[in-house]
Amino acid sequence: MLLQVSNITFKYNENIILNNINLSVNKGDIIVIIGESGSGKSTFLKLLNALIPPTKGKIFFNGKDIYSYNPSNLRKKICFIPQVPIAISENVFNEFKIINPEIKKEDVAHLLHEFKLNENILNKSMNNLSIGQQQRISILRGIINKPEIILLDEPTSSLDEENIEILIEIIKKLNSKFQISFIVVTHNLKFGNIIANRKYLLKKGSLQNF
Amino acid sequence: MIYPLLVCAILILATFSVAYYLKLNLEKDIIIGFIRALVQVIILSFIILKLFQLSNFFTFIALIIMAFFGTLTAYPHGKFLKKSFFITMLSIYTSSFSILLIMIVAKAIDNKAQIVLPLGGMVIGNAMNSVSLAFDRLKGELKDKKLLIETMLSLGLPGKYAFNKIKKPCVKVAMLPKINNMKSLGLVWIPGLMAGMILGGANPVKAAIYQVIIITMIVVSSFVASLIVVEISKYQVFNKFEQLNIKII
Repeated sequence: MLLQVSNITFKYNENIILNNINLSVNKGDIIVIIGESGSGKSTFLKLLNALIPPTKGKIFFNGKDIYSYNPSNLRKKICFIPQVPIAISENVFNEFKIINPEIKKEDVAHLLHEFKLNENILNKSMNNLSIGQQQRISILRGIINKPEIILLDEPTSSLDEENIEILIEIIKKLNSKFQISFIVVTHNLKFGNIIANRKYLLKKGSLQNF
Repeated sequence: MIYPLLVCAILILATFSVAYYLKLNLEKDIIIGFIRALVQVIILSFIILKLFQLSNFFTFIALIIMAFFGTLTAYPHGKFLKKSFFITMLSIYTSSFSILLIMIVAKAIDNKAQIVLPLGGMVIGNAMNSVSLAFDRLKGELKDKKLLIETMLSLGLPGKYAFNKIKKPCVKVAMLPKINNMKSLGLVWIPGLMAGMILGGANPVKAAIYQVIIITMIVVSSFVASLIVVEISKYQVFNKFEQLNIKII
């Protein structure tokens, strides 16, 4: 088992956001969690990426408590892609270079090309690209760390139909080519139905089969 | 003597009223600040001549007390951090005392109470302001750039790297008033100490050089103070698992 979430509870200001969540993820799984805004979906992903600590419970990655890993190494293996793509550097090439200082322009250009992005954006600021392009760079930036799991937070929220199609292709390609597992939280049921191996509903802090 | 104070009190009340009307949440600070300033300088006026006769040891003690009050004034700005009192104290004492020591050892200033105390007061006061500004900006940056910091952390970048993105504006904001003062010295403002020395009969060139010494001390100590605040705060912003300390946000 790649990832095991065991009795996770998360409280914020004494309010229970997530209550006793259990989930198992195997290599190559694409798990979709459906839920309304404010249901704690993003919080759940942040817990898995160890961006925030749980109030109770444990998460195991490859059989070891995630808190026994070096945080940077863990986050490279369990990669969290936030809902809003944020530029961390002044141009697209440096978005990758910051994460892997040894990466060359040709490598990034090749990666962009493979995921239907033109290499002429390399010297542009991510902020000047379309939201669909930003979303793709946000995902590709994460995969250069060779993650085993990608956590996608509401990836379709600002995308049009065309870009959602491209996103589905990317997810399927990464899943089949590199055996990367996905946990995707979304309120887009149609998108969830297309990509999911397993689906869950997050409601009132509890995870239910869907 | 009373009349000018009455005029000042009316002006402060007017400021208070506007701040209250605009709901700036500054009203309490304006009134308490004015009363404190009045009481403190009146007390100082009674003892200043005695202070100027203090031995080196008691001058040092007086500076320690002054820096302590500076710490008490500045540390609430950093209350979003767990150890803000310690951080404030460390930055004010280190920045102020190191610059005073350097200037005394280098014989750039006389080691006399009537020189060291007013200079020390100015250096400590300015370090106190820089610390407050650095804290305020740090809090704002953490709120504004929470998503950026989280994105960097989520990609496996170290907290130290993410913190560098917010560090620069904090030091810049803390230094801006000092740098503006330095740039406009003699053009926009004629400093009190220089004016006082000239009125007291000192050579204007000597007074000007003294003013440059003071502004240099202020700029250097403020820079050191704000840098210490930002660098030490880094260890409070992230916990040992490189998570943003959620109490800050």
